[in-house]
Amino acid sequence: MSTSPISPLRSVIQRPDQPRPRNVKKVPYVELYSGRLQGVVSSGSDIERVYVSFVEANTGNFYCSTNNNRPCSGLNHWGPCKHIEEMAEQAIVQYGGLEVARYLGAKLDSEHPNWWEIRSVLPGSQTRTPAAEVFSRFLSYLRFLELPRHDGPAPEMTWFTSR
Amino acid sequence: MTTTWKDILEIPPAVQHSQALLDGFDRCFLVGFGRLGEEHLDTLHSLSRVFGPTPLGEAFAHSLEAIERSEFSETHFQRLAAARAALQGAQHDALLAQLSQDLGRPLHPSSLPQAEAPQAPTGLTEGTRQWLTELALAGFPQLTRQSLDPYLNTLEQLQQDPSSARLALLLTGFLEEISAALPIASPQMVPLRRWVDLWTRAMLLAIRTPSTQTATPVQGSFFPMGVDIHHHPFAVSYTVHGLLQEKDASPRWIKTTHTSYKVDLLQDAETWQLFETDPFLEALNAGKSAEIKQGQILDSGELLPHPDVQLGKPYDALALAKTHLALEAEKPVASLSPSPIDRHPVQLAFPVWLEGVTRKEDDASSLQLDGTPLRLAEERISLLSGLEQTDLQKVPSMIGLLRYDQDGYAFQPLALIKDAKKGKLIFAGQEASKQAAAKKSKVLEILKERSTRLLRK
Repeated sequence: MSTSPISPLRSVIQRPDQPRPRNVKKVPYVELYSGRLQGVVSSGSDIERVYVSFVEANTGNFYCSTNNNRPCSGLNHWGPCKHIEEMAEQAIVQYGGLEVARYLGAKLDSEHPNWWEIRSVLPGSQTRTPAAEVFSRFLSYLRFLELPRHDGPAPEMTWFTSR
Repeated sequence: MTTTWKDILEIPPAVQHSQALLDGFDRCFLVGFGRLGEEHLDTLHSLSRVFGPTPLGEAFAHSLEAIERSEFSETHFQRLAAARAALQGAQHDALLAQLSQDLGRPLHPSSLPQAEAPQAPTGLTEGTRQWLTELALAGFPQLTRQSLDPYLNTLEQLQQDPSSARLALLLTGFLEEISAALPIASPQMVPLRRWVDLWTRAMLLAIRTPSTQTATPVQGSFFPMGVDIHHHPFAVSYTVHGLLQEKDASPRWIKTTHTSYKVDLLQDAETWQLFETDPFLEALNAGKSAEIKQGQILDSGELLPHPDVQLGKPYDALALAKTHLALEAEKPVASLSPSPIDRHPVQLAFPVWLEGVTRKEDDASSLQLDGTPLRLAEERISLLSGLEQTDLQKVPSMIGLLRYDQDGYAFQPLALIKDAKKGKLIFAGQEASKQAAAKKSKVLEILKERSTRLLRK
């Protein structure tokens, strides 16, 4: 969350930053999880292909590979590929630049940092990592759409008002 | 003597006094019960004195002694949760009693819950209580990814179990919220009251799924008055509120609720497509009553799902609101109380009709009722309601729910009159039935298509 003050004595609060809808077609999945900005990115040229990309918080290490663990040909040792860039840009649409910068540990003065500002203060290099974990996160995310509906009283939902 | 909003909106002194106890209790969740200091133990002792003569008294005192000896079995945390919930239940009852008295609303009698509810597998509830105990021991600001991950597997199983639906919906939201706040930079970043509320609620539901009140058969005309919508990133819930007119009875304010899991990308009107057609939403959209031929209702006013319903005749919502929900209403509607275990100030949803509302020039979200300010509960106005912020900041006449939070009462609108000349009400959720029937969601389609690419090697 951002640095806006939290009301410590309220039961129901408005979350300071609410996710905004990103381009789902380009980036079907993105999250700030387990010390990484990670996601699934659609190939620009091949409808059949998707990439898994991540950037690690603080170290700035990154990687991008296809669903069958083939490294992305756009990667090199000095910088991330365009899939990582697209993922990060959509993460900024969704969470806001400030939140992405905070999560990645990028110390910046800017109020609305863009990806290049964040990237410029992070170290890091290509670090090979299997794609399976991110895939399974995406699949378990989709599992929410298969869960049983609940009809009848649900008083606990009264606490929740954010999107 | 005439009733004024100034008197009505005054917070009962007992509620104010108990607030301090609650504050002290909640501060224990900042340091964590694993390392309480003198001042925290003092607060817990004063709470123990408050509960002294009650049925909880002895058990609470015993658990407090155990915690002082650093014995942290989860039983002790169950008792802490029970005590905190009892305190807030009493606050709820005091607020409801005062509002009902001041607005001349009879209190509908409430029976004790008796019907045994299906129970969740004990392994899941034990795992949940254990995890909640660990959160309490650590204290919220000290939580890390490692405090959450070990519980995810249990939560996934809980989500599949229909008898745990309430607990699972709550914990899914709570976990997401903690997760999004990580890493927690300082104790000031913790929404303390809220998180201890959620913790307490989860602990109670993980002890056992509460019994339900006995359902009684019901028949009559239902006049929908608006929809209250709740959501966290992974679930959405809506409650249709309205007046029920039974033959030869005074009208009751009743409601019906449906909840579905969702993904965080679903935020706009597409969200309604998660639900089946609902005759009450259709009635609201058509401006017609819903004739309940056969239904079951709880004392809390909650109509159980799938009643036998037919669309009825057009109704005059404005006249109904004036007759039953106004300040000095001719026939005030009865007040309903939630099942005892559910009583908590956030559950207060007291229906009222407001007219002649003004605003101060510099503060559009504070409603002025004959000079008495009433905060507009902006945090409770869902994007899915279809109500426009700009209207809410200027219209003089609204139907809505009086809510309560730390800093007093607030107003959550359910309907408003935009054009005073036409006098027609616009309801929250009025378009929902249409949006539910619209062509299939694009977001969901894309997500599903993309995931099949992943699975194809």
